[in-house]
Amino acid sequence: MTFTRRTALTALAAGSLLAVAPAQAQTIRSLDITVPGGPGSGLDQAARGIEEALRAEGINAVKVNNVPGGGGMIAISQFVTTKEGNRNAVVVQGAGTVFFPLTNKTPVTLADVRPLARLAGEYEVIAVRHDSDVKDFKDLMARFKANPGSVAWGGGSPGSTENIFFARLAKIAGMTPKQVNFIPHPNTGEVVVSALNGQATVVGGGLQDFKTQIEAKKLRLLAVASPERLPDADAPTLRELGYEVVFANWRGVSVHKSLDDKSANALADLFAKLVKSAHWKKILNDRGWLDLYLPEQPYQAFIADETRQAREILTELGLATQ
Amino acid sequence: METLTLLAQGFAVALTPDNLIWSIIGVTLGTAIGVLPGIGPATTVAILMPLTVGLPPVSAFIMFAGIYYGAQYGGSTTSILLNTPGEAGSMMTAVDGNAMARRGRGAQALATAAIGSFVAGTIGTIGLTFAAPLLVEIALKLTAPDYFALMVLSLATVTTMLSNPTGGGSIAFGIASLFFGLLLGTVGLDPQTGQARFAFGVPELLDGIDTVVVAVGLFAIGETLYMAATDGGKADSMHKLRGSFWMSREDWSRSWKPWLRGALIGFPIGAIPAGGSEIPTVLSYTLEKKLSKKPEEFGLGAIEGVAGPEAANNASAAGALSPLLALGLPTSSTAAVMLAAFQQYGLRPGPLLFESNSSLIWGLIASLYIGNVFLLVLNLPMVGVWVRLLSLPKPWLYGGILVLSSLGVYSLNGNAVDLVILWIIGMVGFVMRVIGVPIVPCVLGLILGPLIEQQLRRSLAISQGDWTVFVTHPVSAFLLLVALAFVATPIISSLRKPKPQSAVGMTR
Repeated sequence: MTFTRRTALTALAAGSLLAVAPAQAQTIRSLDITVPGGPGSGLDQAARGIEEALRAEGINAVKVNNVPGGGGMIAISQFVTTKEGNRNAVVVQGAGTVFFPLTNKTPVTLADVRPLARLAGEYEVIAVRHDSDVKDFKDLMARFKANPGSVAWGGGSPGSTENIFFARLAKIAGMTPKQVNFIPHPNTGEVVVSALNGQATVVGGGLQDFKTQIEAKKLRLLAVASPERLPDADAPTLRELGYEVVFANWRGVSVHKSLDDKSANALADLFAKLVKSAHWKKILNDRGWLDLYLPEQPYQAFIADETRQAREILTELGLATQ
Repeated sequence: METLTLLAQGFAVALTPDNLIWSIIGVTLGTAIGVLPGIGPATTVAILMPLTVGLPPVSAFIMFAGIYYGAQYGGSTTSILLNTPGEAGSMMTAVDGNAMARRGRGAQALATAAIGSFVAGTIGTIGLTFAAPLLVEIALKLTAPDYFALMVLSLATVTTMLSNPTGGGSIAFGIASLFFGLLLGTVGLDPQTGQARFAFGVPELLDGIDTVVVAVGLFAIGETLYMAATDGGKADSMHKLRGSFWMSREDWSRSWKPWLRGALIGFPIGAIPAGGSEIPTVLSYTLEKKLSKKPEEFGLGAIEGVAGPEAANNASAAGALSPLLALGLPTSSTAAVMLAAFQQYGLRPGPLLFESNSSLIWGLIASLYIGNVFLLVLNLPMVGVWVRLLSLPKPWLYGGILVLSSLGVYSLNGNAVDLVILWIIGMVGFVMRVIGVPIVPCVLGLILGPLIEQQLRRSLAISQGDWTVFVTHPVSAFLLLVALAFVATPIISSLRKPKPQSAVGMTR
């Protein structure tokens, strides 16, 4: 029972002092995080990061629940059915969670939850083996235009982040997305291996995935898909090179659609405070993530925009379901 | 010998009382989760990660490494005693290990598994200490056609397991079982295009059918139902424990070579990205059967069939740490979690970490040697305790196996669809057992099918449809030749031999 005398008194006080009390009454003391992915996955790491930062803020009752499978949609569907009205429950999502329902018929999509805040992420980068014949990004695109099939583009799962990213580059170069010889891989470790043994001409992914190899002079960066140059990456942005593409692998959180604005705002405030905390900044720094915080409204607009662009590309690739 | 000096410094770090205690906690926890099917080391480390924030990194990693190694030891226990492999790597152990347990030799099976794990774990750790960077450098030269050929070779070795060890049934049954496994392997997202196959709108099927679900369904559920159906009437019968718990002179002499061979197969294959633990255990089992003077005992309780695969499994676990430590490449889910744990401390594993934070890396490596010793000390006396499980009256034991299997499979992904699949596969396994269809080819088909498909299509995508890549790559060409020999030799020799009785190959 949580209804103690103290909460009864608080409720009374809140009743008489509604104007000042609501923030108090809605203080979040625990959080239940659903993760659409197994332990060690990108979204899992984001959830564990949130857990760690909240603990540092004195919120110890944080539960992380891994629900892998179905491109993240099993987690979303479980969240929708079991967390109705739960004011302490959030579900983590990322770019893949938006793209997956576009390529496969799923009973739920991200439209079934209420996106609350984008938190962190990494801009996509393009790299080649250090001793590759490919001199720079311009050279890469020249080779691609001359003989599209000869360039093997390595990335993560089909129909997901890198597949869409490369397809957008192809379109700007005046080619069609289908001409990209995309080589999918089940995890980033294998993407790096494909770059190192040269079976992929070029690979895409987060900077952090390649950083160790770049420092060891085994891989070489060609370009980054960030709006401005990244401080710890010695490579031009795609914008500078005339390719207007900004592409990030981001992570955010959503709440259940049944929540009223007051409850949703309490959680939104929690995350707004979280992203400013010193411990969160340390986590971002340690893991090489960028602060990509967006509050509710712009976040939802961002998701709508991502969905529109991805649908267009995936339709051209022949991967989108109608 | 600079490496030895660094290793000595590592031991100085790992042997402090604090770190020894973390190592003991890790291996104990690891053994416990290894015994429970379902919960793996990846999940355990992920849960513990946020709780270790206050700990010095080296202590946290010593504990994580203990969990990782401990889980490999624990996995064999349920395979041998309950025929319930908790992970794909301990499936081959279940075949002969459980047969041994049924014949009253469970203690010897557990002992050869524990000592073999120690020997192979130590050899693997020595390999990790001295050969990791070199080996990873070589492993990186392998490309998709080579992986394809390695997997085809593994599939070819399945031909030696097509006949049913308990007699009855024909080779055709074995082939049918293999193709059923290959069919199950096509369920889920197409690895090349991301389109759903045979998912029937069930989102839980999009990631394919988990190997563990099928292995537990066929081994544990199917077999248990069969046992209950055939001798369930005898209420108080139990598995007899016979003679000494200790391995006999013969057990030792039949075990030590498989341990060494298993370790030599397991470590390098574990070290190559996407090598995994299934392929080395299968190759080790086949090799032992080929080399054995008594191949007819395989499937009925041959101790080599436990010693070899169990050693290969543990050595591959050490091998899998090589790409992580040497290059910072996570090639398994446990390695991915460990990488995340490094990042939690702002560290990135790889060649630079060996220089910038050598006491951490070498302390971790030293702790692997120590953890292995703890695991042997912890597990050998436990053999006597574990084996008493078999003294339970059979109805209790069988009931317990069904509950434990279902619980374990549910905890794998926390979804009920897996339970439905488990029980359907379990029923299929029951029928297969009744009519005499071998189950191992089915599980191997499920494991190898998707891997072969992905590497084949990746090879052809990169070569732009040129099939000659499989013979122009020397490694690939060599492995494919060996695979061909595997399949062709029995056929040729059966053609050459004068046939004393007609159709002998068909009825066996």
